[in-house]
Amino acid sequence: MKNISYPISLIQILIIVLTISSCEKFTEGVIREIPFPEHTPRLTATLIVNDQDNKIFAQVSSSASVLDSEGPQSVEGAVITLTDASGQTLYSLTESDFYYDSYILNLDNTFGSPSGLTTLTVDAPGFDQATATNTMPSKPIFDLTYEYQGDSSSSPWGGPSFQDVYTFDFGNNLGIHKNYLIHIDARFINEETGDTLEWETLHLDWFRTREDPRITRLSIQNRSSGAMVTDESSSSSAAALSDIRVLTKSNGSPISTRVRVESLSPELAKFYLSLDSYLSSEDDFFAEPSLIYSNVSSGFGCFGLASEVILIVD
Amino acid sequence: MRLIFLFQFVIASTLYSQSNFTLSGHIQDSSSGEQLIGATVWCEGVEVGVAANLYGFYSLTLPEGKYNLLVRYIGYSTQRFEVNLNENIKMDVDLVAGTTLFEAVVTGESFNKIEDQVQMSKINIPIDQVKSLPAIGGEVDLLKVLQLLPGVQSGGEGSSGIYVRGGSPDQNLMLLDGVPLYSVSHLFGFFSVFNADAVKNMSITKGGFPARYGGRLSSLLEINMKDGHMKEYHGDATVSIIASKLTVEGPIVKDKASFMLSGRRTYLDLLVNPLIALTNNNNSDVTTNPRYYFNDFNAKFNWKVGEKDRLYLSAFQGKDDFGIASTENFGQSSSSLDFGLDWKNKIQALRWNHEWGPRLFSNVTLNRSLYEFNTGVDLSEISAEGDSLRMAVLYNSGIEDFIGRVDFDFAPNARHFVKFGANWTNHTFSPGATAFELDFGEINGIDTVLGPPNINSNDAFAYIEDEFDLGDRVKLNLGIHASTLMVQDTTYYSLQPRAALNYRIPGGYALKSSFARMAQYVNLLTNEGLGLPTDLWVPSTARIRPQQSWQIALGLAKTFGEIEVSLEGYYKEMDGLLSYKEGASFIFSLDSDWEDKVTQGIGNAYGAELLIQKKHGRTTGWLGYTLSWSNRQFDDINSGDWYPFTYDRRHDLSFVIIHDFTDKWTGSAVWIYGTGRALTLSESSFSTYIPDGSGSGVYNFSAEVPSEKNAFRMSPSHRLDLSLTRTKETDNGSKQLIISIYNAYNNLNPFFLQTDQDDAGNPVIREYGIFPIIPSIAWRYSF
Repeated sequence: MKNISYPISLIQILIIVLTISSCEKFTEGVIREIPFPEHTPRLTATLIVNDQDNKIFAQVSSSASVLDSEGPQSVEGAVITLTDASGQTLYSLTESDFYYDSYILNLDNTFGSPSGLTTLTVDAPGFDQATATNTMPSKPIFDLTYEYQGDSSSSPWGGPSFQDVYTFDFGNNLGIHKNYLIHIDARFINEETGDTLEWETLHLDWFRTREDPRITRLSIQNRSSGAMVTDESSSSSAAALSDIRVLTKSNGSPISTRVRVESLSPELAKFYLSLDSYLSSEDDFFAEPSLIYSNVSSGFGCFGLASEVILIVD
Repeated sequence: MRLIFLFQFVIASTLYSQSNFTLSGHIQDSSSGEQLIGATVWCEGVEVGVAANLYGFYSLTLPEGKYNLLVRYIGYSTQRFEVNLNENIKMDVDLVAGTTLFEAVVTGESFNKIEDQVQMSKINIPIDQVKSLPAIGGEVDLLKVLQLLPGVQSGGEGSSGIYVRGGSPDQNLMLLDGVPLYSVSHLFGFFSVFNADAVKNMSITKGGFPARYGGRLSSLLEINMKDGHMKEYHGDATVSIIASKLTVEGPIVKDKASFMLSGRRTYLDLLVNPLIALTNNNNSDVTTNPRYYFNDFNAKFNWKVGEKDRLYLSAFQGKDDFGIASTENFGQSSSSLDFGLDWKNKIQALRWNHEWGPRLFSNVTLNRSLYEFNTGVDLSEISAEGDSLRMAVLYNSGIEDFIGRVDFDFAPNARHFVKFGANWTNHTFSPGATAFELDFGEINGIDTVLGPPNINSNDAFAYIEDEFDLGDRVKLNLGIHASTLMVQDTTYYSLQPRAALNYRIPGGYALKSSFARMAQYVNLLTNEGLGLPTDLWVPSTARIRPQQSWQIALGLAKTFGEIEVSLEGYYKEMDGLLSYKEGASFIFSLDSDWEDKVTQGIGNAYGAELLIQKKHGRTTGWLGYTLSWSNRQFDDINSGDWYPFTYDRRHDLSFVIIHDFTDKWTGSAVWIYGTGRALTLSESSFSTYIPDGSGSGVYNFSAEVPSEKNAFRMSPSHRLDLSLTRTKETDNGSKQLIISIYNAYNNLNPFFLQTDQDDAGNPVIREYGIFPIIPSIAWRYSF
């Protein structure tokens, strides 16, 4: 028995010593500190334009470490150049086009549809040149059917709910992925003054379209007003993009309604979707981390082209 | 129809093979009657042998003659028999626990050494070894022991999750008495649901899957409960600082029928509740009552119906309950809040063994497996004016399976061992429904349930495999596994060839190789870094294609004296892997279903594993080392580029030693080292914009992003655990005092990290650990 109690006593002492020595470590919990990765500022360039725009808007800034309290900074003195497939300069934005934190170039006409590959080049002092290429997509072609209060349902929160239904039938180019962005606008009368108000983008009803995998709610634009339609999951069928139903709440009495459909380049669609994922998950602790897509050589920003069709419905 | 044909052929072969005779029976523990899975019968001179199946049944067919047979099993005395095989003989063998000198003599010539086995990438861990290992809080955990094997990784410090050969956690088929368990965690993953006192044996297969296995890509974990003592009543009672356990077993009808019952419960809540009540008494206006406990219950009944039939009835139930309830009373107004989070598993299995003849054995199984997860919050208020308000949000998800399975073992002669069978499973998935209840007193309230509907699917498979010799040097196991899934008017098919080769090369080494194609029809939607009970089991659907893989492995094995050495290399490709999209989580949203939140991709895993294991003698244990890579590629993640899987771990080393100092004192030590986990860290911020959708303005954003997914590594982790057990025999049984020290040299290993600034204001990443040295003590009484 003596042989047994001796090692137990030793063990007890060892445990007590080790436990006491670990108390500080336990309460603090910090194991080690690792120097944060060095960040070398890179040029961020974003230029998104559609064929109907009459101005070019570009943002050029420097990236920063997440621990940099000043964050990303706008870069003045940059030269932003758009060239066509043959190398001819289409447009150039310089320091003289810099307003506040962006470069804005007003055009005499609309941007139009340059053919072939368009190249964006951004030069700024102290940074490596940033480049990106993009191709203007063809105009969206679609048939549209409009039904006033064409859909009614019981709201999950109680009571009846009525929606106006816009049904799109897009032609599908087999083997080519297409991405469309749909907005629905309406104009109302100011009841007090009787004036006609500017076009207002309507909120779309998502609860009834959530089961259609071709439609993605794009919440980054005007909160819930943009519907992204893609044929990623069904591009092998000629009818893959038919019968796309977009619903709006049937509220108020607009004097006119229109739909705006943009055909997005694949790069621009990826940028929108990734940014949407990022922004919609900012407050979700459990969300998977998001990277934001970039087709710019520096890794930050986007050069995106889109072509637009506007159709007055009513 | 083909299966019926095959069955007729098998029966005919059994009846009309007249030139050979068959020795068959069960191998069991002499004192308890427990069937000894994997015990071997070796025929000297002829140099052939056979291993007992999952039910302890063996069948050895030989030409007429006299033979010397050796029957052996790890931890038991080897038995030698002389048999005059001039007719079919049924012989049950009782082995006596404990090794003898005789065993040491025959060890060198015994059958079923690692170089004799065709099956590669499979490891059996004796439960007695498991019970001798150090355990956090004194609570032995089977899955944590598996993490010490090469090719098997833990999810993180203290976690009982396992990741096998670069696979995801849903790619492990965990069978308890043949029934799949969908969630095997207690206490948010720190403990597994498997109660070591109720378990008879455990094995894991990481590759080279024989055709009888299917349904998962990465591993098969088989855990079998004790059958129950056939002769006497026995029991174990264990008290540790985490939980208490009680196991009793004994005969219902001696040598005919037995039972085993085992229960376990934590008592942290019971210890803490009086303290909380004391605190609440100090302020009667505000009370707060947190709760947490887990329990599990195992039961098994086993009945020898006759000479050729045996029935087993198994059941398991495990539950975790976490929550907090608080009330506030201020005069006439009051409010209460109740938050709860619970999950539970239930399985039931009925199995029927039948011996159709000395060479044909069958097992028919009917199973049910259920997993449920519930969480919610219930808030109610009564104002001073008497107005009442109640708001409740309740979320639940789950999966329920009904399974029917039949397996046949057929031994036409000493050179062939055929297995064939079929399985059908009906799944009902509840992928997350949320109930909203609002009650405003006199005003109409809301009572509605939102969420995706239940999904019903059926999958089925049939298989046939033959393990046979091709000359003296070559053993093969060839098989085919055919499966199908029917879901949402869509049918998927998969034909999966399986092959394993054992080639004896000079020097007594065995060169082994295997190929296996696998398919998987169920998926776990999980946050890579967390692994919570909120993880959602979902099926393959019309939109979600099944997961598939193929794996090749090449290995070398040899036994040096009492030490088994195996070296294996493997390469695995996976398709149809399921992951949340970037930015997605399980958090409920009205405008998207789970299918909108996921994306599918591909992956690969490759590496080398070394296992040096000693199973006999006063000193046992193993050394395991894994060098591995595991990568993923999803079009919608990481800009479509390949990235390392979260549990891509370059080096994983474990050293386990158990030593019996005397009959009373046993000591054990475990040392582990592992490369740090890969994770994603936001490093850069940048500004960008998008058009605002109106056609005239823009929205500006500033975003913090990682450079690449899983580009950062946590620091490596290493730890030493120690255990000392004192056993004292008494007239009525034995008493054990078990002292364990988890993390003996107090090396805090990284559990999570966050970015911060050091004292000088420089940006740093701080790694935090939560498990310092943890001494614990447990008492065990066996009677």
